Amino acid sequence: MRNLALKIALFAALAGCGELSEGVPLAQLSRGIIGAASGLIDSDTPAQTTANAELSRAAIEASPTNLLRLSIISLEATDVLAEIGRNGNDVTWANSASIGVTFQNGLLIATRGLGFDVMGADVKGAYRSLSGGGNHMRKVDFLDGLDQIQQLDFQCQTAVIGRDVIVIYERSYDTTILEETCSSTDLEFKNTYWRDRNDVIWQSRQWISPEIGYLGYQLL
Amino acid sequence: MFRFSYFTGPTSAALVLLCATSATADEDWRATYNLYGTAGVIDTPSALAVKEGEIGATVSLFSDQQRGTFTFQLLPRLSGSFRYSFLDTYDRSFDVQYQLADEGNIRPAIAIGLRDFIGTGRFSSEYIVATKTLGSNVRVSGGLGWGRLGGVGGFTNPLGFIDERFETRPDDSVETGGTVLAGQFFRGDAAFFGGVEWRVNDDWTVLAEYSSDAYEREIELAGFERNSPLNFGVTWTPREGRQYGAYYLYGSEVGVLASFQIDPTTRSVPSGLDTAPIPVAVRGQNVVAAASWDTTQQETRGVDALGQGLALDGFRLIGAEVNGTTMRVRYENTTYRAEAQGLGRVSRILTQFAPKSVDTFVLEPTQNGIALSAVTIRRSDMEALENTAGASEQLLARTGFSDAAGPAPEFAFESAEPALLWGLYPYLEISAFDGDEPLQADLGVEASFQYEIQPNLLLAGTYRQRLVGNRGQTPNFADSDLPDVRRTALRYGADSGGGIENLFLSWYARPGQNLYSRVSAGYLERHFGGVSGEVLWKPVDSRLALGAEVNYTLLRDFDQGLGFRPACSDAACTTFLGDDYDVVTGHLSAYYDFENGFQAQVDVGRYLAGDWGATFSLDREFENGWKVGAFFTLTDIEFDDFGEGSFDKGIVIEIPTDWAIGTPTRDTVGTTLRSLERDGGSRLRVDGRLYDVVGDGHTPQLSESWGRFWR
Repeated sequence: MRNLALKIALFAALAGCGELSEGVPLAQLSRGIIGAASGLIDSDTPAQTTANAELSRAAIEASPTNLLRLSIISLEATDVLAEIGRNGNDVTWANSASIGVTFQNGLLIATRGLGFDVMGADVKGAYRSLSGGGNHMRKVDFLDGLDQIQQLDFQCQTAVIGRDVIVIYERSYDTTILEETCSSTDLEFKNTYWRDRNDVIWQSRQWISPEIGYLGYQLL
Repeated sequence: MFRFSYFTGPTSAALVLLCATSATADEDWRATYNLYGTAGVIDTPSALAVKEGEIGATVSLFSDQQRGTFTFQLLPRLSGSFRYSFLDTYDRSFDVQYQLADEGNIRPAIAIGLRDFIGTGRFSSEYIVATKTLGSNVRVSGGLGWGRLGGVGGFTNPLGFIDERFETRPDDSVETGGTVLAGQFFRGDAAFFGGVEWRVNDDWTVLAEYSSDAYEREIELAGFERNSPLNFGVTWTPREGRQYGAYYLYGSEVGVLASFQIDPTTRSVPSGLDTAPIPVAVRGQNVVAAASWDTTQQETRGVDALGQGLALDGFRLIGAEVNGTTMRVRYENTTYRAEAQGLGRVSRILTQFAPKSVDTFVLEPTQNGIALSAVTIRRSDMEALENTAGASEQLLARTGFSDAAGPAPEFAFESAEPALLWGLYPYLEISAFDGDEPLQADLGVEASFQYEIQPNLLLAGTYRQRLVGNRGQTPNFADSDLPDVRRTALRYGADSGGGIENLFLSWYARPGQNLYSRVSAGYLERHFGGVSGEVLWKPVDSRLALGAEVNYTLLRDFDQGLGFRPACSDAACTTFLGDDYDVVTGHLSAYYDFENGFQAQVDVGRYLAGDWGATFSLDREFENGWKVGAFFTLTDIEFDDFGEGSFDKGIVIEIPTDWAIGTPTRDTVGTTLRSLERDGGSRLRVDGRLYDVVGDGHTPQLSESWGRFWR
């Protein structure tokens, strides 16, 4: 231990190893410093491949599970998610990074892994208003910094705003465009749905939470 | 293919972020932290209270004076501060401030405060202060101060009309400091002080004040020049939670300040970046598990599959069994801070793996190999409530909690995890702020291991080796007649450059309903080795717990090897006489978890120097795992014999790591800031005391963090 070079080398190697080093703050700090230093040497990150580029109608048809293309608009992130669960009309989708979203008849009722998640929601009124418009209530559960559920109530109105033929990977759908406008005491948002005559929402833009903003999805 | 990738385009242009609208301007204008690290103007206090729970850490420098202060807003109106300061020597002090009235349309906010009320009294002063916001950008504070704040422009104490004795301020501090100086409070001359804050814009505030502090001690000891009572300054708040200040003080000195504020009640990612849970599988729709576990073979295979499924989500299955329509599962949550979140995730995994005949889950979370509680959840509730609004509250109302003292489930699961865990990582040891010694520090390597003989029988050890550092210089120890159980702490590992930090065996058990036990033996901590035994009584739904602990320990050698030593027999601690120092210590403890987030603990018994007494602790525990608390110990050792500080006291802070990094972990980071540690009132430091192991799995704490069940 008297050799200074050995000491320095030993310390540099000690970003910590072994399971028990994981929670040690100083080891985490050294890992961060070493990570930053190696980032300076090798700053070329591999080019991001977009999910869009890899995807084709043939690939979609070949998939053993249903797929959903999801964008988190404020994060400028997009990915393809696979169906991983079904509870009645609730369908849960997730990607390999374990971000999860759940839609009930196409309406968002839960997210997991976004940091400001929707823990659960009541969208029964919103679903009824999709058939021909109308007023309804929405209830949304969020989790706060003290692990408590905060429920927000929204007053909403849905109206038909037009028709459109949309194309999703070579397939076209004849859809009605519906817009749902919601407000609470200090929040408001506007969701847009592209719905076909079988009541399937093929494409939509829906509000998640104040911090995350909106998602967009296409059913593939 | 399943990767989040990034794109730009018309969609991002359509981005609309909606933000919550702001509150009124007054609430937006947070309190300024002053040179004492408390709400104030420059060197004088104001009557403002910050948000409940906020912690302000402030460092200020001017002339030869340095102050570092933690201020905690304990209650909406009550704040407490702990300060390290340096002038001629390192010194510690405590403040409290209580807001008598908050600001109204006409009425100013009014507060009363005690500065340095326990300690050596170097900053000792009391005040009553009022603060009023005028218009939207001017705030004026003014008050009446005693002690240091009555030093200049003072007049005969107006409280003298109540009792003449208020007119003189006695010097009743004991030589060793550290006692409550109540005999001085609001006594002696009083004087006015006041200041004004002008908010130029969101980032900049200009300050001016009249200070009634005479700075007598600093003039005498450090040649401080006090040419004027007027101070001027400017603060810069580049973002929420940061404040930097620069000042021109007392007509002669320049000062600077940096203050950081943390709000434990908010989190940068409230719901965390934890991965999405496995969704609920619904019977009759998509459950692929067996119809029932009729044969041992089916059961063994089922438990094996369940164990592997749980391991993928950060749980370790101990065992499982099916009795009729009930499935009982005992597991250890190794990943998630809140046991409630563990219950939610395990329940969802059970909907996938439990045979279709099962309609009730009994979950038994364990820690250190002992079951903490038995939580009964109906499978139909999991199916019906998943992702619904109000699911958390409704499920809690339908969930049953009971004791889990019984045997483990019939079918044990052999985990693929290795029984031996180890780690090698750097450590930094600093011994600072002690008397007038220079800062000493060591940087080195720590190696630790943990070998699980049984889930409830663990062998663990830690070894340290210094690489660089100057902790070798043995400091001078203060004179004392007590055995040096803590006073000579700095000598441990100083010459040897490290050694065995601890090496011990611990065994946990459930001797009966509502009862928990622990036995630890070996080198339990840096200064003591021996045997420690503990029993805790705590019903699952009780807010009260009672405990008893008995230890027999010997004082360890300074080289942190395997040997023991006698206590030193002279003041400088250079000679040792007699046999190795051994002592029987023990405590009876009562714990109470109040519904308002406070937790109290009283320990009565015998301490390491052979002294008898009691320790009182009060912690503010937030639902998200943050903890800020204070404690003090009084024993039959006289204050003069105890030495500097008079008695043991301090504050503890514990921060859950997941709060800071966003991803789930059970780790916490914590520290104890205490007045100089001496030999009196010191307890054995043994790892894994029962209350800390057991409490998280009981109803009060499970309910508090139940919001995480569905996370």
